Amino acid sequence: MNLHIEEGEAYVLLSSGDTAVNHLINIFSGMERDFKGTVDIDGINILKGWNECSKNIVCLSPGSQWPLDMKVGNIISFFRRRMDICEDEFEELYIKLNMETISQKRISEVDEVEWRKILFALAKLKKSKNYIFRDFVKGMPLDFNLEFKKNIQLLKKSGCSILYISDDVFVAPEIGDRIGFMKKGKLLLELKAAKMKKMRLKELYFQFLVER
Amino acid sequence: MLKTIYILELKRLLNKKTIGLFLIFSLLSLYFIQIGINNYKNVIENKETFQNFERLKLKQYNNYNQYGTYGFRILFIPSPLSIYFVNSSTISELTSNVDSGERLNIYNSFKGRTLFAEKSGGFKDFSGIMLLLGSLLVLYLGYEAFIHKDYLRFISGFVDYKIFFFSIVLSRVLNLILFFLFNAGISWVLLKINGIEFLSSEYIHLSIYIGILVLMMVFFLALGTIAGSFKSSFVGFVMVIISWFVLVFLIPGIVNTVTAEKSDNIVSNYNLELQKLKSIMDFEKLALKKVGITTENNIESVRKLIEKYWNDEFKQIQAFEKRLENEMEKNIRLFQNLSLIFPSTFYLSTSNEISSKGYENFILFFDYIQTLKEKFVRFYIDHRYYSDAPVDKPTVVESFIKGDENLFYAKSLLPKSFFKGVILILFYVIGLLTISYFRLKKSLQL
Repeated sequence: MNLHIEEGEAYVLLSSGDTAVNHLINIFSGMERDFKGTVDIDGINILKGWNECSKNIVCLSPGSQWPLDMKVGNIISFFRRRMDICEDEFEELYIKLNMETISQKRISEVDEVEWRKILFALAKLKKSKNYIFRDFVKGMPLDFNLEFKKNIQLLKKSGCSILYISDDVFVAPEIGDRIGFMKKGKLLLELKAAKMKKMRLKELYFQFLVER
Repeated sequence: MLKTIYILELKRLLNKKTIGLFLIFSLLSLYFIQIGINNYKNVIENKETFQNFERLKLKQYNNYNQYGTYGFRILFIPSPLSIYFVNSSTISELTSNVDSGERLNIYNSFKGRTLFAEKSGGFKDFSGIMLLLGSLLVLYLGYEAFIHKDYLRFISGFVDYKIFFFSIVLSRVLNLILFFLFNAGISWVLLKINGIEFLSSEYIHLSIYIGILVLMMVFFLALGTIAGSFKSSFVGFVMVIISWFVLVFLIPGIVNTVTAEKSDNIVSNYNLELQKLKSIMDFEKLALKKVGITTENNIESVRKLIEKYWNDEFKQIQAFEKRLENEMEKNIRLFQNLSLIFPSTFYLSTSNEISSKGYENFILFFDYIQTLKEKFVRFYIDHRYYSDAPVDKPTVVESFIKGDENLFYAKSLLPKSFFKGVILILFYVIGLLTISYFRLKKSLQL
């Protein structure tokens, strides 16, 4: 795979299998260091300069393995201390996430939409320039999808690079500027979002088959 | 960073479920401390009754012959620290009968109410509950620290994995230490309320015990973190249960069985008594042949014969007992060395000795009885064969026991291989945490 994501660009990588995607996420989160090839974050090699790279990258994939009896307020307080957030920024976050009601709730009591909003808000606290999402809007209601797209636009405007990994061919042109189709770790097809929006599904499928 | 993660971990632990568990655990340990206190108070009350009875018994003797035949008893008094170890130590109640004959009786009475007293070797005391339930609780704490993989993955995006891993472990260790110190503190308050005082040496041994307890719990925590580092939380949970069962029941059981089997090599009490009886019977046959029954006319010949007995046969009897003592000590060393290998057995072995009702004190008690017996036999010989009192008429019998000599005040001790055990546990903890560190990193991969 040969992939370069520009500053201010959102790239959607479509893949049906999990193995190659898991490898990618493991590499970007620093959990896998045994791979062939080069991965650079803002020009720094991920293997040689992991400490630097880790500051500039955020990986977000929703999952259910959280300590469900932990209070949401405790997680927010941890990030507040860890990220050294100023009062104003914290106030803004507090109001945005409706923390007055949510902070006393346990993670098991928070619904999935609220929880993903919290995760995204916490991820943004890192002020990274590079974001990796995996199926973040999958199964979510329309208003969440719309809000997420708005946030992606804002991140792009601030010069962030976004890699969105999914198997949802309908969401791809809504989020990404470019869309790549990956199969067994190989990038088979790449399309611009504008072109993909005009294509019918059948056309898209045939083009994919040709490239394959 | 450690402070931030510590606060997060503390708040994570301070939920209703965990607080409830900790409170139940603390109440249970207080309950067993109170049982220990009642038990110890009983021992102290019995001490007075025992000594009064011995004094009354002495007044019944008409002559030194009777005193020598019936002898006197020695009572084993455990240290106040035994409050923490009522049920789990080797010795429950111990008395010895010392007379001028060849027998040396050390026994545990089963007559009357003592038939129904709790037998030693269980978990029903503070020390036992700490091992039985404390280890399970701590194993679970270690396991629970690392089962939430998505949470760990998310946080490790913001904190270096190494720092994150060790901060979580250190936070849990710190909370553990605070919890056990809290339990030790409330137990001390309960002791004070009941009027039990410790000497400074007892405080030192109590601190050592708490230290070993915490070290053992850190071992279980480290083991729990390995269980938590499995990708499947179910597999990890099964590992928690299996390792708890193996370390708390199976391995101590095996160590006890091996020690018991090896003790078959120790000369049996029957053989020993037979050898001693033969020695004394041979002497009595010789005495009967040479001088016959003791009278005022043959007293000089009797004295010569008695001195021969004192220098020969009595020393031989002492040598038999010494041989038994050496063999027992050898087996005790075997037990202590085997116990070193695993932290749970090391904890049990150390608790046994700190309780003052362990093997080391038994040997000291045995030594003490031997010393008293030697002095008593000499006392008996001097008063029976060298005093001016007529041989065949009643006389006022002087007590051999002065003050509290018939009470053996056991002190808290440590097993001989104590420091080796501590170092081994530290090695275990480092090894387990290293395994857990790499396992968890692998399991955080998708």
